Amino acid sequence: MDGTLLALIAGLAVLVLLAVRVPIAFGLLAVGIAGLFAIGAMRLGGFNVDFGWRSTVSMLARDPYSFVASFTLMAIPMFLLMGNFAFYSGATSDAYRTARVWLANLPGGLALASIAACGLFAAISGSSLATAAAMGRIAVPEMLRYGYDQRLAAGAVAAGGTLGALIPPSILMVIFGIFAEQSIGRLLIGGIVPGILTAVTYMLLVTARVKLNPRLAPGFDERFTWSQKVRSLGGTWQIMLIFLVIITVIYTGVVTPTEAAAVGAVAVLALGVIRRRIGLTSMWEAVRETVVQTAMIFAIAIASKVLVSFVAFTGVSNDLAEWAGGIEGGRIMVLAGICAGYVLLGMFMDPIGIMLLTLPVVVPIVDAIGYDLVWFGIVLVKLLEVGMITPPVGLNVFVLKAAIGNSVSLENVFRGIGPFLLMDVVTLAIMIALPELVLWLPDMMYN
Amino acid sequence: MSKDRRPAFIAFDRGLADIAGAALVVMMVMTAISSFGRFFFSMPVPDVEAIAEMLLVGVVFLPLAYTQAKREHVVVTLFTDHMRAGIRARLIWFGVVVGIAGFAILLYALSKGALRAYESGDAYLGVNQIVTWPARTLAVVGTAALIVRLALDLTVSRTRAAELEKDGSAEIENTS
Amino acid sequence: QDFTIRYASPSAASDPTQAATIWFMDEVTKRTDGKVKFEQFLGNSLVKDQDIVSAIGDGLIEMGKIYTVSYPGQMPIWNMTNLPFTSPSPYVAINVINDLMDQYPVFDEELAKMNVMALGVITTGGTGIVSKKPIKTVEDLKGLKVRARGVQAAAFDAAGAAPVSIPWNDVYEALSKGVVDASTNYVITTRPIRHNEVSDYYIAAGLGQAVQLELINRDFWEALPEDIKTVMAETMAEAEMRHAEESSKLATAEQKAMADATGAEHMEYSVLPAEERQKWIEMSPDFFAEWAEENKGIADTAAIAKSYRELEQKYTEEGQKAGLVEMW
Ligand code: NA
Ligand code: NA
Repeated sequence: MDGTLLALIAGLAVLVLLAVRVPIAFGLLAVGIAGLFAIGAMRLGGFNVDFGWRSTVSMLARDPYSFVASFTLMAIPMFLLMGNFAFYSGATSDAYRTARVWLANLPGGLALASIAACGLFAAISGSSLATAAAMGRIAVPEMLRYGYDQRLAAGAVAAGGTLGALIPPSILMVIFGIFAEQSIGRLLIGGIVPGILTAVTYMLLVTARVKLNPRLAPGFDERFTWSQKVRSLGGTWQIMLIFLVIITVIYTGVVTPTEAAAVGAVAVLALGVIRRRIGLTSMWEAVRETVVQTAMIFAIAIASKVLVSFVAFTGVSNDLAEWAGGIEGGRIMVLAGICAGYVLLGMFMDPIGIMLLTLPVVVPIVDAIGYDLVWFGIVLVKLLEVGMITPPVGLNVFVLKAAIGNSVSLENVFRGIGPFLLMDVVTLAIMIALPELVLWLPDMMYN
Repeated sequence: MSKDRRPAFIAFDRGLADIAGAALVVMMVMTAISSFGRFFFSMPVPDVEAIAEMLLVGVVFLPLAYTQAKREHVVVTLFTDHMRAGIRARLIWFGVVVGIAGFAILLYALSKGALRAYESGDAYLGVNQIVTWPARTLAVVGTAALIVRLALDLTVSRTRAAELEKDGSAEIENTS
Repeated sequence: QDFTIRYASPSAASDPTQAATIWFMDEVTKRTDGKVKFEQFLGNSLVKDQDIVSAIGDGLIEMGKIYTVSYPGQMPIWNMTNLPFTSPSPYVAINVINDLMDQYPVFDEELAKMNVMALGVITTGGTGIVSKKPIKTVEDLKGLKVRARGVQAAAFDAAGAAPVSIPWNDVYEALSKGVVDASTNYVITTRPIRHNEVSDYYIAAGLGQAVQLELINRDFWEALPEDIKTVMAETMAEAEMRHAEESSKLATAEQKAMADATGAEHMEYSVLPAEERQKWIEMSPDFFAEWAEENKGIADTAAIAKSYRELEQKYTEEGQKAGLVEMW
């Protein structure tokens, strides 16, 4: 059987299993295993059950372990832990109280503040998963506390999390730079403008939606006196101190962004203990919560890794890339085809997996039709980040869901993301129409 | 909350989660110490990368069962919310079966991998050449515990399962 | 009968150590009139580095490339070839290793245990140091934070440097922010993985080579028709020598490219002076003796170590005549 057909069947199977409320990790794993088995069995011609089974076991014996045993992925539980410590120590509620007082006149002020905070957090984390993990616990419960619409609150942070890979540091940019032989420095700097652009479009969206429907974000017409405002400032110092500590240890070369997550967790814990806001009981509560969240997220990530291995064997990503490369009607059509392909892959697969599988085919195509590869790398990272929040498999969404627990349903998170996805289309259109805008900063800094 | 609504043997799952929690704390402290030791004294913790990776395996796999016991695995309920309780219960049961099938195969494979790593002396490239089989065994233990938990869930009557699911985790087990 | 060979490698297509095998695959397809085709999974896209051997052994894929350093536990004998302070020339290393395999069956036996066979050997060339600080003497290594692994870490440790263990993908950021002052790298891969952007000096230090094996599943190999086996073996032997020649040329070109680049991409290339390298060797433990002692239960390791040095001498002289050996 054709690999592409098999992949298509697997995609449908995933959709069906998830729709009948099979837990996502279970559904992805079952389909991934079945796919590996099928493609293994058909490998030697005919349907060789024995070989299918052996090759499936061979893959599963090593790959899930190697995937999890990764220093870089440590950032996810560490940032989750930091978020939980911050939550239990009340540092985040203090900060949101201040934000509410100061931003009361802005429609959706707390959502705007959360998006901005995601952008700042992106400057200390190398991936969007880590950003969503930390910000989910920090921002969403606070917005809900002030009566914000569930979908708006969760959507803003899930989408805001994608800034993590655009704004440097960024693991995805580094990997692209190595694979496409492009300047990593230019790629990293090049992510800044699209990152800001993304944040700005998200903020405009929030403002517009709340203006149209003030019930989404109640309380923006409250009035506070100046003395109230000044007094409220006291609430932000903890968060600012923590942020200052992390940004200092990163930019003075004490730690890598991965290690910064651990230092951040220590810093928040220390502050909470000193201020007597965290005791042994609440500390352990936060730790236990973190491991449960971590297990949930990784159960899905492991299962999706198995699915990706199967997809790799089908060769569908290659076929898709080659199909896009063969589109006639000028280079913009080819580019559009490539973008469409990445959106499609992004629905089911993780960014690194997609890059490793497609770049060998796509980079020469893009190069041949004369696009700047640094620019393309930045567009690609943006596209892959869109994949992190699209259904059915959106890892950022699952991370956020894990971090916020049962207060918002998965459907509501995905629905909340919808409008932000529209803004991503706008951002991508601008990035594609105005390559100069994307390359302006790197050109300025590197020439 | 009455005690009989707690899943059976939850203490075991929670114990595994607590071991994972200890690993998490060690990982945090060790990474921070290593970073500062490296920066101020040019003295990082030797093999910190390998140790952290192995701890992460424990942090990820050991709490799987507890996560299931707390009904925290992420599900899409959009299309089933409007169905009758009986059908919903059957679907929940089906989901558990799918989970058992997938994770049982994974368990078999992970065990083979751990055994092979033990026999071949598979080790991390590092100063101390730390062997990988202990961490692989943690993955086996965590996955096995998840399967036991899932199997126990199958024995719970289907209607109860639906109830439990609806109630959510916090009510199944209060902080204890 | 037609054969499709799945090939996995940790290296990206942009990695110069991968070029010879990509050539090999194209060439084998040509020389067998398309009877043997390859599906390439480069850059860890299917199987991770340290999993490739068992993936090949199990038949999940038929062929693949590994860094032998990634298998300290399973390949103690092979790991001798990665020890520090050997010849920096791929020509020398490849020939020495091929001769050793002929002389000592233990090399093949180690692989046979995992149901794989070495079809070819590719080496990186001498390990050097990319650094943000100039390193002119061994003294300069004191307190230097260097990303290094395994036995190379031990060499840095002996010189008073601080070996740091961080993931390869984090090294760029770590150099950029100064988390580490330096990292091990090879002259031919420094620019491809962009360490030139975040460090200012390349120091050829002759810290040994990273030996890569092109492995194939044993059962698959034995079942292949003789004519195809011959084509593959011969083409691989050619690929090895192509790599030796091409990488030697490339090393010279890269030295120049580093120096010629301007701005952030510029690097100053230098060779650690021979007397300083000698000092470093004397400060370090005798790695070959240590290896021989640790593994004497497996084979006559003392004899293997001795042969290594003799063959190294022989091929260095030959290589110098051919203009393929220099310090880089
Ligand atoms: Na970032
Ligand atoms: Na997606």
